[in-house]
Amino acid sequence: MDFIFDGIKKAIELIFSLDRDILDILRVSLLVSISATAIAVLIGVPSGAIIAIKKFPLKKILISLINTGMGLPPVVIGLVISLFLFRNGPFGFLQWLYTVKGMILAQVIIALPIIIGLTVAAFQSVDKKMYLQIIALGANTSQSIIILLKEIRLSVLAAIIAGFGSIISEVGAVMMVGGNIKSQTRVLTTAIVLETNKGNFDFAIAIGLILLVMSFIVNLTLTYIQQKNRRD
Amino acid sequence: MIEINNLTLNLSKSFCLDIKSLHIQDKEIFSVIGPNGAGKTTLLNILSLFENPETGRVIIFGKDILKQNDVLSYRRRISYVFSRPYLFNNTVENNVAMPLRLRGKNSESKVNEMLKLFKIEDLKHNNALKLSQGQMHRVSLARAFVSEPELVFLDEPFLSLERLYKEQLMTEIRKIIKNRGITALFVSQDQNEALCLSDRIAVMKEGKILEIGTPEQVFTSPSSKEAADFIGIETVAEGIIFKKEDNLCSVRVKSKVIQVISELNVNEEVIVLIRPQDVVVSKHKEKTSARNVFKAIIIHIESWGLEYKVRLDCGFDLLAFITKQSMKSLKLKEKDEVFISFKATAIHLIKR
Amino acid sequence: MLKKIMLFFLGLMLIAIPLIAQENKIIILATTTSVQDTGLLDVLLEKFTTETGYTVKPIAVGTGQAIKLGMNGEADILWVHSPDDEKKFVEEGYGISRTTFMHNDFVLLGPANDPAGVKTAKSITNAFKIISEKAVLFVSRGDQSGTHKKELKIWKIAERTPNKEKYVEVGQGMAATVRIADEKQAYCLADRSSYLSLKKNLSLTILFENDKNLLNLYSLIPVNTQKFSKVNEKGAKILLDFLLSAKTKEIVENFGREKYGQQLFFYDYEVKK
Repeated sequence: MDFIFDGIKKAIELIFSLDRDILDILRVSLLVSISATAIAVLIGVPSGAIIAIKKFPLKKILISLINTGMGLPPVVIGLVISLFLFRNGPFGFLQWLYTVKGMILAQVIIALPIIIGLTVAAFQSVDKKMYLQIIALGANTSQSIIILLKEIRLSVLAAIIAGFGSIISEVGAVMMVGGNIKSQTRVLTTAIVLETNKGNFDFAIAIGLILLVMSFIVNLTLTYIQQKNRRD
Repeated sequence: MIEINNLTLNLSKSFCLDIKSLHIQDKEIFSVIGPNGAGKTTLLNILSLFENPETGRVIIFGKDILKQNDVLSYRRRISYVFSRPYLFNNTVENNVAMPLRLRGKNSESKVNEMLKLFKIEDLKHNNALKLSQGQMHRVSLARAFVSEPELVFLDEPFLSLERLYKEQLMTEIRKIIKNRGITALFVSQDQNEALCLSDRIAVMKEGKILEIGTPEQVFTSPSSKEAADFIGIETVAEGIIFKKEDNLCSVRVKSKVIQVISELNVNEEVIVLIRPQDVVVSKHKEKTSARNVFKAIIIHIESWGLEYKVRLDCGFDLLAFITKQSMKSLKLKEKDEVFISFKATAIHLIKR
Repeated sequence: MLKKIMLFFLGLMLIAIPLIAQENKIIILATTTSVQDTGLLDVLLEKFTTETGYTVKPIAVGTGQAIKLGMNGEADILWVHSPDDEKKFVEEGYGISRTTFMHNDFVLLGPANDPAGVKTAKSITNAFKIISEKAVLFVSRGDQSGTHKKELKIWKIAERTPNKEKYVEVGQGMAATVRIADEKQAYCLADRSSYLSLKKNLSLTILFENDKNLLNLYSLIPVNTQKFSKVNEKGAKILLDFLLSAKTKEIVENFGREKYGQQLFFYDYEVKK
């Protein structure tokens, strides 16, 4: 039992001493997870909106594919992306393997189905007549998407929160694509795995605490925005 | 303004919209009434291009709208008010300003004018979703008129409103539509709403138009039994309240004065509705408690199910139902002179 | 509000771009977990990067996988410890040269009370025989790493196969494997440096050591550019030169003295003064 309390004590010391290794890990983590969330949102929310609103052939199949994508094991995504990014793979020329870019790519692919899927669901939860009313008021497609987005901003924020959650907590794909390289591609989750393996529980607990606090702060901020809008 | 020819759309096995011909004049307020599932909303959806008919021609603004490419600019010339006010989670002001913003020509003065017109200026900064039903309808209507549409579609916009409130709002809307020279197509299940608002009425059932005409034509002498079954037959006449003592109003209808119990005020223009079954016909003038007794001439007698429908002229056209037995014992025939009477409470007034 | 969120993300991305953009002079070093877990790699690479400006991406995997990466041209240089595989790798033309430059040794770990009684074994092969006969729990890396290969080789020399029911293949890195053995109070083979770096949290102790068959030789193999055009030949050469220099020798020989109280790795390469 002692090693747990010692671990927590040491962890707090490590955090407050601003350990360089921990700061590096935190920097890479924030960079990867926030950029990946941002890209996934910029791509996912508009495409989710268009998929939900427009009529086109095979729409149902596309939606069920996306829903399947929401449950894709990240490790499989990591494997496939690694294969593509290998030097001698089809996208080797990008030199993205073992880089932050590669990790962001993997995370975007993991988060995209979640964000698209939940956005589609959010848009589809809107009364069809609401959409017709917006059109009837004279809105073109992009205007109607923006108006609808404002109406369902709470659900879309929930989609963003879910996407961010899947990214920040992911370990398998970033481990494979990033390579867990110190100061370069080591993020909170891969660092926890490494340090736990090495038996450095204090370090692992410290990083675990940071991960918890970080995802708590980000989620708290997003939830605050969400709930504040609800009160208006 | 609107010319519809041979419009068809099969929505299901049991329902098929089929409109041979429907022409609506410029600046006319035209109502389509009919029971649930008659195809009224489908018609409006086709006219606003939310649904595509299988065949037909619909000419609006001088063009066949079904063949035009620029749907957006067509939609920006019309307004469509749904039965439920689909308002946005925002202030009343922003809700009303929405159509102008979408057209890229926001104007505070126009928004304020609308807010004033629909008496919701005080609610300007309130959240639209926290208003009462009636207020929400006003916002929805203000939003529909702010863009200065040339053509307005109204799909049962008063459905969930209380009667008194509804009548007041309808009068206001009629005024606005007439003042601004807008053409309006109004759809409802409620014939009183249609009577109050419209210049002409069409009766629709199972996708077909049964009857088109002025309110008087449609209500007093429907050409088909089906239409009559739906709307019921009533005497419809226009009048004006010129005197009021307590609740007893004196209403001038053509040359006659009718006495009616009503809460409406002096000098109001009204539509007088008298149900044929409330009219008593007698050979001689008798002492009666009924406030309205007139001499009348029988114009036409027609068998109407178990009864006879009798059309009389008592200074204005009036309908009465008489059982076969009474007909026999009174020995009534056309051109007979008779007395008719009806109670002051049997008459329904609608404010115009 | 949506606009604000979008702007927030866009801003972050703009900050992020320069941070991502600096990846150019890159060397991929495929190496083993034991080198990384002790922390030696971090120390050496930090010095290398400050001196040369090259960025090294150490991919710490088992030797088996490191060699696979080399055979696919996905690494520029290997730092591995499985002599037989290495020789084959070079013979088949995947590697340019093989330089064995440092060593440490393997140790047999087990519960302090030594239920099988291997402490008194004459040799490591003898110890393995005892483990097989006594049917005690044995944890194996099971990942084709250098350590795993070494273990398999000892079983072979000992002419024994491990007891199936008592043989646990975990398929993980050195540190994870030792930790699992510790939890299960099982025997396992580990390199000494990994053991020392894990020691403070372990109840397992060294039960057998110092045998010629327990020698752990580390070699460097630059990957052959003739076979893979994308391999960073120049970078690999610079890293090789750095690792075969007096500076490295000094770092390696002093590494761990302070933290673990003893030298973890022994530098063998004759550096030119």
